[in-house]
Amino acid sequence: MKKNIIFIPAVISNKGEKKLRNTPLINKIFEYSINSWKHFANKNNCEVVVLDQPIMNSNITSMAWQRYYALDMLENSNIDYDQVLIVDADTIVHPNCPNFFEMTNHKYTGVHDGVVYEWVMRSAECYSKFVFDDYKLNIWSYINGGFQIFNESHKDHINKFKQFYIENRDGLYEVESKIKLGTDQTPMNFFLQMNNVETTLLPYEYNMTGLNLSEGLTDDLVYTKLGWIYHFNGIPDNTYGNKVEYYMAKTYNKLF
Amino acid sequence: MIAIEDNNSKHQHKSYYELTKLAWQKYCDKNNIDFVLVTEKLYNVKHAKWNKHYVFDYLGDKYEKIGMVDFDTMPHWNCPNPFDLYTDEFCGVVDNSSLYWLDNSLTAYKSSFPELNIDIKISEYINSGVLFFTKNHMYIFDQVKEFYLRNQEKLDNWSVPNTGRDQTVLNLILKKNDVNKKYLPHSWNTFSMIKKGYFFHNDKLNDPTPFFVKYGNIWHFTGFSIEQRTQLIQDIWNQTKHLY
Repeated sequence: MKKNIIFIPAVISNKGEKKLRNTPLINKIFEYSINSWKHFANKNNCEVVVLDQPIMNSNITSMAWQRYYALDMLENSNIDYDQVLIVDADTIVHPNCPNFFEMTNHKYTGVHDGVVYEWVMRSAECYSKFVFDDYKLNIWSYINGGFQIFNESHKDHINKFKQFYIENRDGLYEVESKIKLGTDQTPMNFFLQMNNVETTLLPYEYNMTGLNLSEGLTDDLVYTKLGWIYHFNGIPDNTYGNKVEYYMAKTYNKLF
Repeated sequence: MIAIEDNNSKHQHKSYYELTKLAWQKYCDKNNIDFVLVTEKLYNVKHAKWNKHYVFDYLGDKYEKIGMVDFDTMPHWNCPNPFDLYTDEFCGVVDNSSLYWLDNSLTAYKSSFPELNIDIKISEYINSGVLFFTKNHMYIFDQVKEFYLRNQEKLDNWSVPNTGRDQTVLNLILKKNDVNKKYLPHSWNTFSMIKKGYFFHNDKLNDPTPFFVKYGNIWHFTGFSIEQRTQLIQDIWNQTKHLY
């Protein structure tokens, strides 16, 4: 029987870049996340697949773009799948999280990214001008790339997206490095809307981004009372990974 | 528009709501919408915030669809007609801009008033500063009023910090009645404007127009001091009044 898959890119950077995946604490961060997802998978008859090595040269195709090869990787590994969630490894899922795979209507599914609109607006406008021929993105339907669910019916769409990336890689890199407003996330949103892909938007409880700005990082971890999937992004961290690890450790130890 | 100067407030709001009032008046005139301004508090209601739930006492049942806005809001001069957005739903914008506040408020009201001990998801909780509904929702406001009157002494003296006044009560009563809601995009009630970055502009494209002008339909000037709010609204009005 085909199972729902939770696909977690968790590749440690070897490029010396100042990103979360290069912090000395990254193994711990990944461990909290993956363990929580394994718990969810056991409870809901899903399977966790961790991408711990790049599929291709990450100097040419950054890890953010490599996640769209999830279906290829599953097929090459002879893993039958129904729906596939690709989820960032800086997330923790609550042990009692409802089975969101049952809420997708088998549509491309995500959670609206609305904590910091100025970033979304700026990014959408820049990609519109430099990459997508002035197409006007509806930012109120903009989804966060750290939690995306799709299935076999979206294969053509994802293949086109990958092809678009391959054909425009140099230009995309130039825009990425010039404007510094994300990598795949905004183009992914353009591609969904420009191709009229039907989407299901799950509520914020299923991808609680920007916990710092949402005043959620309280001593009692208030977010654990209010939602299901905690995404530890956008946390100002001068100590480079320490704060993220601190909150993830505290959350994991509270819930599991 | 509810614009009641609250005697209990430490601040004078009139200096800016004279301007937001003008903006709403002109917007409504342009869009063939009746503009009703409520400035007088009812004699038996201490806090202005509870007055808004007497909306049907002020309006009667004359209107099919009603929009109710706080006086710290202002429509964009080209705001689409909000009454085209819905048929019979109760409409608002989800407000989870502060998880700490939300939890605090829900916990306080639910534990203080057993009849409100109702489960509500944070994605169901709406900001009460901009609401759209129909005359068929009169019973909801009746329930809020009844709740207020039953607990008037407690609510008039309510001083639990970071819990608000009527907003959480309205949300819990909406949930209790399983009201069919329509959640509007944030453009229809841009609370937390600073936190969400609406005052920035796209420096990458050298576009000086602030994001709230480009994306907001109804601006809600919350999330900063009264002094800042007054100055800001005055500045915006001075620069845009010719467009209304």
